Amino acid sequence: MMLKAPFRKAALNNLFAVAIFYSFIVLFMIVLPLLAKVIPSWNIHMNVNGGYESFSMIFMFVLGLTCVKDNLKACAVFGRSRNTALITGIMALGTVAAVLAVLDSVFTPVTSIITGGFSSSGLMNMIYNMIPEKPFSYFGTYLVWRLCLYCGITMLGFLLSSINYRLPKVWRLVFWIGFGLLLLVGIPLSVDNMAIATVLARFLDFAIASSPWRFDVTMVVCSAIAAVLAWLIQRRAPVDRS
Amino acid sequence: MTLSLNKITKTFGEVKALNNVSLEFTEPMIYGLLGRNGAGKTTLLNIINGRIFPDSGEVLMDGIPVADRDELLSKMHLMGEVNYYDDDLKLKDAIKTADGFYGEAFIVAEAHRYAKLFELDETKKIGKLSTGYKSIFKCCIALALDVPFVFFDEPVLGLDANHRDLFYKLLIEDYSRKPKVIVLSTHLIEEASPIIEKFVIIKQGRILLEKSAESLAQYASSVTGPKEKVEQAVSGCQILGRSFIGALETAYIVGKLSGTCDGLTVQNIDAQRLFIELTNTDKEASL
Repeated sequence: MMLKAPFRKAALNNLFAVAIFYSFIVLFMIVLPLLAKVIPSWNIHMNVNGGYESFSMIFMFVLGLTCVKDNLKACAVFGRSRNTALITGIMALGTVAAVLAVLDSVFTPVTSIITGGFSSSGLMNMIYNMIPEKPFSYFGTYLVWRLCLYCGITMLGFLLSSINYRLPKVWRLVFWIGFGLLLLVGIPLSVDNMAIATVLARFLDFAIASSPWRFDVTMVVCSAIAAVLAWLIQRRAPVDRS
Repeated sequence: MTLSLNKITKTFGEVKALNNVSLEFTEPMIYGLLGRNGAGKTTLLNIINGRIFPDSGEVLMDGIPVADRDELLSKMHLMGEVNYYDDDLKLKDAIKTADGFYGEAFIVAEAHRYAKLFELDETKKIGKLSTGYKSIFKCCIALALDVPFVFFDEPVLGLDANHRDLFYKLLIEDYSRKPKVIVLSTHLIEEASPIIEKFVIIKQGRILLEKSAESLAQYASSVTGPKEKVEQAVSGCQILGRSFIGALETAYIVGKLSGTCDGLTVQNIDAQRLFIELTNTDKEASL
């Protein structure tokens, strides 16, 4: 396999998007709280639950959605196979996930220091109620947790985008409406059923809420499943003409 | 290096775009892939280059299946009708990207030279180019490649006469410096035929004819004269088609006319006329 060039292209494209996104987020997370302190008369109140990762998750999901087509086209033009397109696409997303995990891990304490204890509770803190007794271990655990979270989220976007890519136009509409209905109606209605709610709660408790490391394993397994499914969908996909 | 297509079949819904097509590209040569709209030319080129996959059959390079093999796919390039380049990419960056993918097989200096000759502004984004200039840019990339197989699908689409002329000159120049298999799929038969060394005519998903330029010139002839005389002379010949102007008839036949032809004009027919006669539908032939 000749992975270097397609990986480089996909990663550079994605990292450019990261640079734009992160510049905006840093401004938002640091400058606004600082302004709130410096100019109290502006009466700015901020409380970002979920910290940096709430923004990064959305970004990674969108990135997963957008990178399938671009990468397939580039590989088709310059003589690379579907397998290479898929692998390099996933590698590039993994790279971005790692970059964001590091940036988030660095900027969370930096933001806290600059803004003087400004509240930006991270998701991991909110779920596991962890107290950072050993800073390095805590930092490492959080870094890996973020990385796995972003990989899982971006692979969900990647899989959805792969399905979308293979569907005819009308079916795409049906698929996305169906996906929206599943999220907004299907899941809330199913949770009303006690038996389903119990099974779901047990699964979430076991796979996600019980420990950060178990969450990491769950995310890695989900990412691997999404990657295999995406491969099955893309391996014989014609290059989209649009 | 040999590129062979082994019993390729491809169906789109009810339409059989390619039907058991077998073909071989061996010697460095300029091939002309001719066919009417919807004959299966683009499908064939897309399958060869791994952009779409056949329902059955396979593409082999020196006996090894090409699909899913980067090392073989990177020995080919298809300058396609559809633009797969990122519209936001500047031309100079697209050239850099091509360099990254093809490495030594892509001659950057030549790409810049061709762009200059065609007066392409390399600082422009691909999406901002007109249809003609998009084709030109894709041609520049394809011409700058030193790979064994280069395929052009409607390369002169939207090009003015001057640019078309320049393209053919550069193609010949490139081919004489770096001999390779060049496959030219075009509707402009008259214009392209002087540089084509081997013709492949495809009709309704099947290879109808595969002949070198020399043997194609001998393949068919036209017989013109008074209707009755022509009919008499061509009886027993394989007739490709007929056309009438007043009392005069021209019959297109396979091979040469044997026997006497007093009062008749017998000529070799050119590639375009042969193509028309071979691919005409019954309805068109009756007009």
